[in-house]
Amino acid sequence: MFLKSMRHSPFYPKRYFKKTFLIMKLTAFFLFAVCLQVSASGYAQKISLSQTNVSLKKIFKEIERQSKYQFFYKDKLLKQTESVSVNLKDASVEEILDLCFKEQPLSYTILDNIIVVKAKKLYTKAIPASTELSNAPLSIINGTIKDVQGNPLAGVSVIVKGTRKGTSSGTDGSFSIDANVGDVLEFTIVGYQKKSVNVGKQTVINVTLEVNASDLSDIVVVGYGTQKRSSVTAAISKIQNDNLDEVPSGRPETALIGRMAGVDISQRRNIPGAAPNISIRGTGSISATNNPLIVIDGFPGGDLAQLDMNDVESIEVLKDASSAAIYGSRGAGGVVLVTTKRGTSGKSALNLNAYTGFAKPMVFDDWMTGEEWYNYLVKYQNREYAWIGGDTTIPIFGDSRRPVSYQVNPLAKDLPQTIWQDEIIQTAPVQNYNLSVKGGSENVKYYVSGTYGNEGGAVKTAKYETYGFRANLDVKVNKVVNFGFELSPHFTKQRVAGSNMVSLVKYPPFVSPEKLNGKYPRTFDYIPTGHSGQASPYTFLYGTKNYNNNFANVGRAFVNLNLMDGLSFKTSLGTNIIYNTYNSFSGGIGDAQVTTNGSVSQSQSVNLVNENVLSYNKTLHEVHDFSGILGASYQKNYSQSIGMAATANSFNNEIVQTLNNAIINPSSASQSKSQWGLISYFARINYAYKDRYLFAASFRTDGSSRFGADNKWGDFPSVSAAWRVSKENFMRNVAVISELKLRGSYGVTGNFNIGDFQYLGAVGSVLYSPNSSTVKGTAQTSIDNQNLSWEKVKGYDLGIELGLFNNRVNLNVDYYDKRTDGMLYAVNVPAITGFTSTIENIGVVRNRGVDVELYTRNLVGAFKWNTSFNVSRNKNEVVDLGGVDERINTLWSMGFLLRKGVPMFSYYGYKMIGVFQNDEQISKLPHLAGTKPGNPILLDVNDDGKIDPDNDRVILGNAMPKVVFGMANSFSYKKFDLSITWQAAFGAKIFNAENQYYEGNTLGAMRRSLAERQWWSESDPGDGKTPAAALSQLFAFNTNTDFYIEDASFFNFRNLNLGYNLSDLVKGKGFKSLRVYTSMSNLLIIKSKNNHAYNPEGTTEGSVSGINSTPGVNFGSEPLSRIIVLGVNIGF
Amino acid sequence: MQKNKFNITILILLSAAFLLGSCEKSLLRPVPESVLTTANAYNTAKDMDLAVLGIYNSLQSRVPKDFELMEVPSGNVWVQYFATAPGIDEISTLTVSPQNDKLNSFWKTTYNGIFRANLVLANIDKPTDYATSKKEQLTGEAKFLRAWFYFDLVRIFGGVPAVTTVITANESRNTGRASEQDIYALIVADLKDAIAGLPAPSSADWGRASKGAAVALLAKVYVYLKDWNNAKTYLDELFSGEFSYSLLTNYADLFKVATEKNSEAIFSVAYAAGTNGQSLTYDLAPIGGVYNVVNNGNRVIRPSWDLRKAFEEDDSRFPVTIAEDWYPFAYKQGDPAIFYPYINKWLVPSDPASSGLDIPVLRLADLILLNAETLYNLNKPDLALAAINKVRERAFGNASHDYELSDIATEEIFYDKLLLERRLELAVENDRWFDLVRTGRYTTVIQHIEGEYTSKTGGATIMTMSAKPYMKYFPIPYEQIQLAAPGVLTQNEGYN
Repeated sequence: MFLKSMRHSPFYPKRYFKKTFLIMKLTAFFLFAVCLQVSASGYAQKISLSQTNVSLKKIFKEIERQSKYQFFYKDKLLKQTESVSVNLKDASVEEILDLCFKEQPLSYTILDNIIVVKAKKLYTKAIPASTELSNAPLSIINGTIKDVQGNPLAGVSVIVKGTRKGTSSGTDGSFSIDANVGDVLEFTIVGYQKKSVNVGKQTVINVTLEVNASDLSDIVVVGYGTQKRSSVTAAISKIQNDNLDEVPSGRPETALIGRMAGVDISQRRNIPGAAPNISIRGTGSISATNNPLIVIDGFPGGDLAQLDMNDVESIEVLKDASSAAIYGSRGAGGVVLVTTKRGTSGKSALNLNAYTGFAKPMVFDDWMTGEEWYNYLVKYQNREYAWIGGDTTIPIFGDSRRPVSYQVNPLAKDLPQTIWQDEIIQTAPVQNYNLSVKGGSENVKYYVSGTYGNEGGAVKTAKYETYGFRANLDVKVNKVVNFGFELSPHFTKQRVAGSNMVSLVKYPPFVSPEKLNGKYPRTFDYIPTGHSGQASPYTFLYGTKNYNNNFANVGRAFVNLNLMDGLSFKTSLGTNIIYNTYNSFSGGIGDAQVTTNGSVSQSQSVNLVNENVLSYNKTLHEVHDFSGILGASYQKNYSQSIGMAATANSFNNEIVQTLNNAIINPSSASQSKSQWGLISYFARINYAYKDRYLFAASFRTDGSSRFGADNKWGDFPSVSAAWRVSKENFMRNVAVISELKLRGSYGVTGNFNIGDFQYLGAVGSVLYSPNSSTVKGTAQTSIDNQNLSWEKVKGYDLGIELGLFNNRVNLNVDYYDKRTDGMLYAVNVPAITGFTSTIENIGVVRNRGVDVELYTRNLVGAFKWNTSFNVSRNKNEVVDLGGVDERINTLWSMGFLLRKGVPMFSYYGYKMIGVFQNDEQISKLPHLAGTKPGNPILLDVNDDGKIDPDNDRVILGNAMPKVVFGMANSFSYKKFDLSITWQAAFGAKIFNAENQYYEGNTLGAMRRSLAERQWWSESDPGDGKTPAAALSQLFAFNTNTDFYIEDASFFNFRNLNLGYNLSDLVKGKGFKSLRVYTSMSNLLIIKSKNNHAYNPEGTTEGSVSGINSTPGVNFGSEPLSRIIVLGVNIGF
Repeated sequence: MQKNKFNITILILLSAAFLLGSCEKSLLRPVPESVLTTANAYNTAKDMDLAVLGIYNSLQSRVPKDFELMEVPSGNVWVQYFATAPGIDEISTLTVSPQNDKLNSFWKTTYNGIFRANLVLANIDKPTDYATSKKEQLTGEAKFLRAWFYFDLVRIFGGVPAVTTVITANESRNTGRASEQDIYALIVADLKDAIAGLPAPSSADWGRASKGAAVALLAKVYVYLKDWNNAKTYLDELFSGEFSYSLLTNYADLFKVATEKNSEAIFSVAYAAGTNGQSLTYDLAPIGGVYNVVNNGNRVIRPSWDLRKAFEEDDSRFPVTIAEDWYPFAYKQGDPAIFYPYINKWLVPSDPASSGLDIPVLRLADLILLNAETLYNLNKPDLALAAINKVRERAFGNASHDYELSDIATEEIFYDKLLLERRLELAVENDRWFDLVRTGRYTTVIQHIEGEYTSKTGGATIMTMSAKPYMKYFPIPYEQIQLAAPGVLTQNEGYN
């Protein structure tokens, strides 16, 4: 309705639409130009003009009529122009314009067939030169301004010190100004260090400006806007991408490890392309995911895997509830804001960052083989045989009185020996190439980049390739309108190794890795009983092909309108399109015992977001700073997946590995479609008085499709305040303290990370096969719960920021306490309901702790040394489980406890205090039924003379580190620069089930250090602390104790980056800059003596992701790799 | 310009507002596209038929693992490999703790089946398009299956919560155990209703319950209740001309895919190879597979010497039940056999994880032996003897191994022979443990288990396994007691 009437309004902005059209064309052109990387060169069109005393506008129109050129200008500009007369034949457009603009305060730029008309340099024209000092003769100073990489800097203001005389540099970085001999020129631009140059007798002054790190870090990206660091009232960590893009890793997260307090990134698997686990200030939810919300350039709900670190400008982490509350229902796990690089005005700058090197897994070297291995087997089988009453004097092999299960074939030691660990791991190549171009004019800026990355895994055949592309464009149309867009198509190709680490490594050493009779031999080809029946590790490695291909594109377009001074409106439309294909094939490559299998699944999701934000800021009477935003956001996600699999063994051959070569199993075919939507309205107000007293408050209300009809909407308020004590008069004289700020905040955030339609009672398909034909019957698969609603986290944060010695030392300390209330959690219900669990809002979890970040500039001279250090401590506690006092998950007979007052999923089992040596001891001490000599002696906690699970199990620690440290040191001296990052975590425990494969239980590969200390007999009792390692005893007596609970504390020298700047050498030879570097990751890992895992923080059963979680269990996480690369960073 | 700017803003803001007003519904109230909900799933007779198949699915998924609870404690088998089935170790040594995961998952899947049956019964009146007697058939199937589930529960746990309607989580927390008697009453009532509604075997789909199945199950239930007269009533009906069940000539044919649909199987749980198969072949075959049968196995249970030595040499059931000469999958002509006894019953050539063999959970030989027991208890030893001999004659191919009346001189001796026959006939078919418990013999028979044996001496490894009187019931799963309101779900004696 309104639209219609507007159209007839006399104020209907026709011109606006014409311009918009132009802008669109311009954009289209630009895209085209950028994509093909062609440089803009003018059309050679000839124009004839004969006009007398006409307006410029008329000239423009005539040019437009005769040629393909189109003019682009602000009306306002032409108002100050004078009429012109032109009489030219077959002239070029430049000739015409140069003539027409001779006396005008205008300049122009031609971009292909677009002519942008703009004002001539502001200062020279607008500000009259001061004459106070101009007794000396003026001379014209020319020069160019560049950055350290040699890229021209446009828009740098050049002022003659002490005067109002000034100019600014053009797109090529050049400037021209009149100055006297005694004058000093000052060069300033945001983001760079100010530079002053004495004019002297020079007429050419070339200047190089250095990036002002503190200036850039002065600006902090917050949700829906930016703030000055000094005005921030919340707990936000920021890192700038200095050399992070040189850290060799396929995933950006890896480069961030150890750099931010309260942001715990753990590398639990070393599978190329696999996501490290991020938890921000502890684990707050049991069932809904704890991952932070990733916001890439304002698009909420991205994935860090879609990014290339080369494209990242900075990363901010909103840690406290007050800063995350502006993201409402998704802020509970914290928010990670990624800002990518954007264009800058000036000549195009081409940059290449390339590194290549290798990754070598760090492995064990105490494997048993041959005689030693055989002797173990003999001892083991005799002990087993004795336990069940066998006569161990019967020969170990070849006597049919001894069951084959207890015989050991001497062939095992006589065959050539192989250490399978060494066979299945690889030193893998790692490489990454990134080429980027950025540049633009004052009004149009672009950043375009392409990346190729490739890394191999610790396990042979595993690899990860990435192809990334990014284009960011910003266009300033006029003072009012600017717009831009981002595109980031990203393709990844991952191959996952065919089996996990333990089942590949644990293989017996007598089996050859060479093919035999057309296949990789397995144990049974040598010895048909008594060993693993598994196929050769090589069969798994080479016979299995699991490919995970992922295409994703986060794209966004936005328009920003500067409505009036301080008031702007931004609207954006973003999409995240993800297309994933998983192909899996497994065959025996000659081993007929391996079932051939194949499957394929595809999923697509399209996520659309429209966000509209009105921002206002105003300073009143120079002391009251107001700013605020008001916004609305609409998001919708559509997803679909389909999958199918072959009937087992139906592949005709292993040559064609796609499903067309097999029979599709009809019951494996599936399709699912789903969607969710989110409507949000939000507002934030900031107020500062004299930059001294700072207040902020925000409010967001979210409506989500994921909850029951009456519970769709949730409110997420926050308040925060800060007092900059250092700004007070009484602090003026305390010279030591340059900054002192006290902060306090409170906020509410939410978590909606449950599946779609969980509030409905779903009726799914289940199979039955009457008359031998399979039919899809139906069964209700979940209980409906119309009351389902948000999980809310209420948290406060108290912080202090201290800067000392002119901010040479900066200290941030935060204390936080947050409660997850109405936790979304699949509560177990009595099975007589027909269900085992139902998702409800029930239960409370609390996380509290301290984050400390210390940044010091230790040396600032020629030898520079900066240190950034962080510590975080988090305490997790289950406060309420919704009517249940505790519940216990069990994995391999180890308990995982949820109990009020205890950190979530604490290990819960018996405490081992020794090993039973003989039957007499067993009869005297409390023990579990069936205990034999060699089994653990358990602590009778309540001293009642018996061991029972209700009274004698104790808490044995948990998988969460108590304290995490991180430190980054960077040094630079002349042309060298060096940065060193390390990380340490203390207090976590892992349930290292990996050990049981290598300590002799499974009679596969054995590590001496694990196998040799165990109990064999009363006369051969081992170290007295290690029970007999036997599969028959494992679950009943060993895994339910703390025997496998190991200390996961570690120190990891995460990265060393050493660079040398060779720019001087290459300058003027087609290069602007050249830096060579080497980057090394995981140089040194120190772990507890008690930890026997490949990766001290390696776990395989996932993190907390539901009521049945068993976090901290390690079934063979891959070894971490030491990565060493050489790289170059070249500017053209 | 200034004026224009504002108009533009207003325009954009308003158009945004327009966009948004209309999208609330599409954003916040999407309808699931690829899944039904309780609101729209039960409208037609076909919907109900599919929901009944859903009940069979519960049974189907549980039955292949029933041996873990029902056969493992019986002394017929011993457990070699604990890792694949945590919790089975406790059952094999009869040191079962309430935390045992096998028990808990058995409880969960069985009550899930009961829920599905209750849901069908709750919605059965909704559709109006039933064909003649279809509604009665579906009701009968739901009740038959519910009775089946409760019969399993009562035999494992004794009295359990009697749930016959769809209940909420809150109600469930306050539902305690019914008495064993009440559960049996529920089973009897359900089976009587099922008999009334179910079709004759000839008109029932293979793998779905028929009237014959309900009659047979009710007879079996009465034997468990030692209600010999009622047992006889239903056994007589079963053996009357109404049904035409008969023993197969060849015992081995019972466990072959080609002959799985046969006159002896009264109720079989149906599977289809590849698409909807079961895993018994894989669970029982030795690691390394079996030549010409399966390419790998998991040898979860292996035959005990107790069972092996109970077979007479010419019993045709022995080679079907136990194989001792093992030819691994990778066998090559001329390789010697390895002496490695494994359970051979249920092994059919298949993809390891998906065997299509239907599992006959109620078959005529069982009922004939139950009939023998009933007749004996009704003072008809001659008829009882004839019934046992009928089974033996099939096993040995002739009457040479028939018992004489003198062989069953006392009740004790009769039961020795009867239970032996049941053991041999129904080995690894989940009856042995319950037979020992219901006859009170478990405490004397199960004192140890003779496990792995050798061909040379037969000397077997001896494992401790001592059944105590309280072990006639397994413990109520600890988790279920915890989830119920305090004190609502009581633990069985001996497990506290």
